[in-house]
Amino acid sequence: MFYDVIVIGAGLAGLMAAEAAQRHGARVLVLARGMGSLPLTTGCIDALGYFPPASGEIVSSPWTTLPQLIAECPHHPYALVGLSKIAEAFSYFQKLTQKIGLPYYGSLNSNFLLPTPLGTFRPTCLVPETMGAGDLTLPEPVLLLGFAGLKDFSPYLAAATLNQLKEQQKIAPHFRAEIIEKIDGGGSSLPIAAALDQESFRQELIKSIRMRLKPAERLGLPAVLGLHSSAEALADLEAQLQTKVFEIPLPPPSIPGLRLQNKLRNHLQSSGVRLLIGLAALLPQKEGDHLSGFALGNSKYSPAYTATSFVLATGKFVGGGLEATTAKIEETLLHLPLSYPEQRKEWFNRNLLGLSGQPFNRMGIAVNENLQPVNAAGKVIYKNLFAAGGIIGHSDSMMEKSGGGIALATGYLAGELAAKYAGF
Amino acid sequence: MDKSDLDQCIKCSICTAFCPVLKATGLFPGPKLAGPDAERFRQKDIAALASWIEFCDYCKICERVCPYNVPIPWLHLRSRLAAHKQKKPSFRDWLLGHAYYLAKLGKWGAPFSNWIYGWSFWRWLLERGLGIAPGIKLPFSRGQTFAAWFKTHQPAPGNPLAYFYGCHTNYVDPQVGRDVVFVLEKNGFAVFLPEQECCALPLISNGFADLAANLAQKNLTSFKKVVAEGVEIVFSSPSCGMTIKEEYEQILHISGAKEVGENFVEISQFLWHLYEQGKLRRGFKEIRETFYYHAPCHLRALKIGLPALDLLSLIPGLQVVEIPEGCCGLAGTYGLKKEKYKIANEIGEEIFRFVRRGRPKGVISDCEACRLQIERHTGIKTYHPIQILRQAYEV
Repeated sequence: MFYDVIVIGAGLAGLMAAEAAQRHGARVLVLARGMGSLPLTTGCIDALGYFPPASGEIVSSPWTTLPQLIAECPHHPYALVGLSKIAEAFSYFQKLTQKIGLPYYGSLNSNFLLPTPLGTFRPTCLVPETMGAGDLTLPEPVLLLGFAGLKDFSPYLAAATLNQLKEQQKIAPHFRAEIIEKIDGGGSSLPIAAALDQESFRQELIKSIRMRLKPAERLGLPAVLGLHSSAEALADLEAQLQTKVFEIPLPPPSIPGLRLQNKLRNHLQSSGVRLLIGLAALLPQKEGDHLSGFALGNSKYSPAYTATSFVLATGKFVGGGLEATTAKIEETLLHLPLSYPEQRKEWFNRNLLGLSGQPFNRMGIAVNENLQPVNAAGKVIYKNLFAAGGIIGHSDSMMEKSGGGIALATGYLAGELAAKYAGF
Repeated sequence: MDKSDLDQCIKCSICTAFCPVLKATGLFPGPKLAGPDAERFRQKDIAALASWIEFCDYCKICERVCPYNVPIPWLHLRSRLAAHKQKKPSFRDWLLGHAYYLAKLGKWGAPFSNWIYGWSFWRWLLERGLGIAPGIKLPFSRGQTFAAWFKTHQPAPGNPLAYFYGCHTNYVDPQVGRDVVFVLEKNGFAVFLPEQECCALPLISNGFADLAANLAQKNLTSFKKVVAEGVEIVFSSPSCGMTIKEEYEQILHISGAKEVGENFVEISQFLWHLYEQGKLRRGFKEIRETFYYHAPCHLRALKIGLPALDLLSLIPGLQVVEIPEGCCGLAGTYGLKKEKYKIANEIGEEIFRFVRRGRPKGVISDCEACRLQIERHTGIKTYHPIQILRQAYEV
C-alpha cells in the first residue's frame, strides 16, 4: 500500500509529524510498535523548565531564555528548529487542540509553576484547562482531596511538602488535605476518571466535596476529571462548588496524557491518516541512500508499506528507539550511527537524581538543520528520511524539562519537511 | 515459561492505560499487575490464582500497546489454565466452552432447539442456574449448515485453496461462508473444505486445555495433509485464525503447530496480496454508500495491518469510515456471562455511541462476535468485508 509520508512512532513527536504532513494534503500512515508515550506524561507541554539544566534554576520565560540555549548548544534540537519555527509549532498546537476540544493555555512567554503528587513543583509551559487553577504563584489556599485506596496520590504527603515550600517562600498558597472514603476505583485512577464522565456520578462526588470545602479555598484533585468529558466535568464542578478546581497528574497511566493522545489520534484518523498500532516487526526496505518502505514481516503475505518520505519518531530507551546492551547502544530500526562514550561506565551517572543528569538521556542520532539524520562526517544518510522527538540526541530533556516542546517543534518541522519532499 | 517474557516489562503502565476491562470496572487490577507482576508469584507457586484473572477479556490490546511486546495475554491465559487443573470450570463455562458440540447436536434439531431456546421458562432456568446473561439471543443453527450446503455446491475449477470456516460460519451465519466461496471462485480458485473441528478457542478460554488440545491435534493432522500438497488455507474468522496460528503453539504447546500456521492466511490479506500481484479480479460495480469499519481486537493481534480496509478501497463510490480503535466487549463467550455482561457492554459503549451518532448504512467487521455485539447495541446491520466484496462483484 502506497502513502506519501510514513511516520514511525505514535508519541507526541510522531503524532505532530503526522498532523503537520496531513494538513498539507499528504496521505499519511503512522506505524508504531506500541502506543506512544503520552500516557506516561503529565499531559502538559514543557517548553523549557530549567536552564542551564545542572543549575536547578527555574526558567520563568522560555521565550527569553531560548536564545541563550540556542547560542550555547548549537546541536540542540531547538537550535536546529530555530526560534520562529518553535513559536509556529506551539501556536499551531494550541489552535489544533482548541479545535479538537482540548484547549491548552499558556504561551512561550511564561511558565506555570504547578504542583506534583509528591508536593514538589514543576515548571511547564502549555497546560490543559483542568490544571491552570493550580498555579503555585496564586495566593488562594487549596484543599487537596484524595480518594481512599487510590495509589500514587496521598493528599497529606503532598500538602505537607507544599506547606514546607510555602514556609520557605518558594510558593504562595497554603494547603490542607482530606480523603474521600466511599469512592473506590480499585486503586487506579482510570475507572474513577471514566466514571466522572457521567453527570450522575459527578453529582455524588460534588455532594461529598461540598461539605468539606471551606470558603475561598481552591480545590485540588488527582487527575480524574473525566476521560472524555474533562471540559464538562471541570465546568460542572466549578459551577456547583463555586470555586476554582484543578487536577494534579499522577504517575502512569496519566489521565491528561491519555486524553491528549485520544484526541490527537481521533483527529488524525478522521482526517484520513491511517494508524497501525502494535506491530511486532518493521523491516526496512531501502535502495542505496533512499528508503522505500517497511514490511510487517518476512512472509510473502506480510504487508509492505511504501512512501515517498519518512519520519523517524521512535523515541529513546522507553519506546525502544534506542537499545543498550552491555557492549553497545543501537538505534534499533535503521541502525543509524550513534556517537556515545566507549566506556559503559560513562553512559550513566551513579548519582541517579543528581542535577547533572544522566548521560544516556542525551543520547540519540545526529541530525542537520533539516532534521535529516547524518553520519559523523555530516553526510545525510537517507535523502527522504527526517527525524523528530527523543530519538534526536544532544539534549537532556529530563533535566531541562523540555521533552514536550522538543517533540512538538521537531515533529511539526519534520512532518512539514517530509510532506514538502513528497511534493506537498 | 520463558523468563525473558517477564523481564521485558519495564513497568511503564501503558498496558494499564489501555486495558478496556480496567477502564470499565475496578474489579480487574489491569494487565501489568495481573500479568508480569503476578507471574513472579505464580512462578514461585505463591498465590497461584486470584479470582480477578477471570476478568481479562483476552482482547490482547495490552500486548499491542506495550513498547516491548510483552506477551501479557499469554501470561494470563496460561495461569488461568493452570488453575483450572485444580479447580474445574463451572457447568456454565462447560456449556459455553462446548458450544460447538451443542451446535452439532442442535443441527439435528435446529427448529426444535430454537423453539426451546426462545421459550422464556427455559431462558429463566439458564439465567438463574447457569449465569448466562439475560436478554442475550444465543443463536443455534437454523436450517442447513455451511458444510452441508458446500456438499451440494458444484465445485469450480481452478487453483486449489482450502477454507477453514469456523463454527459461527458453519452453524450460525453460513451466508458468510457462501460469500467467501463465491469471491474465491470468482478469482479462479477451486475451494475445498479440509476436515476441520472447532478451533477450540472457547474451550481454551473456559479452561478446558486438554479437550482443546485434542481438537487442535485433529485439526493439525488434517491441515498438515493440505499443506504437504503445497496448498494454502484461508480463514474468515480472525479469532479462529489467531488461535490456530499462535495459541496452538504458545498455549497448547503443540509442536509443529507454528509451521502449519504459517500457511494460514486471513481472507482479506490473501485477496489483497492477489491485488498487489495484479491478479485480483476487478470489475467492481459502484456502491455509493457510507459504511463504518470496526477492526476486531484479534485481527489487530495478528499484526497484518488492516487488509479489509485496503480491499474495500478498491470498490468505487464506497466510503468506509474506520471506527476509533477499541474493543467491542463481547470477547467470544465473555460477554455472555452474567457477571461480565455489564462490563462487556460498558467496554463497547464508545463504539456503539460512535455508530449510533453516525447512522451508517452498515458496519463492517471481520469478527462474528463484534458483528453480533455491534448489531445488538446499535440496530445497524453488520457485514463481513467479503460480503461487501461479493455485492460489488455481482452484476
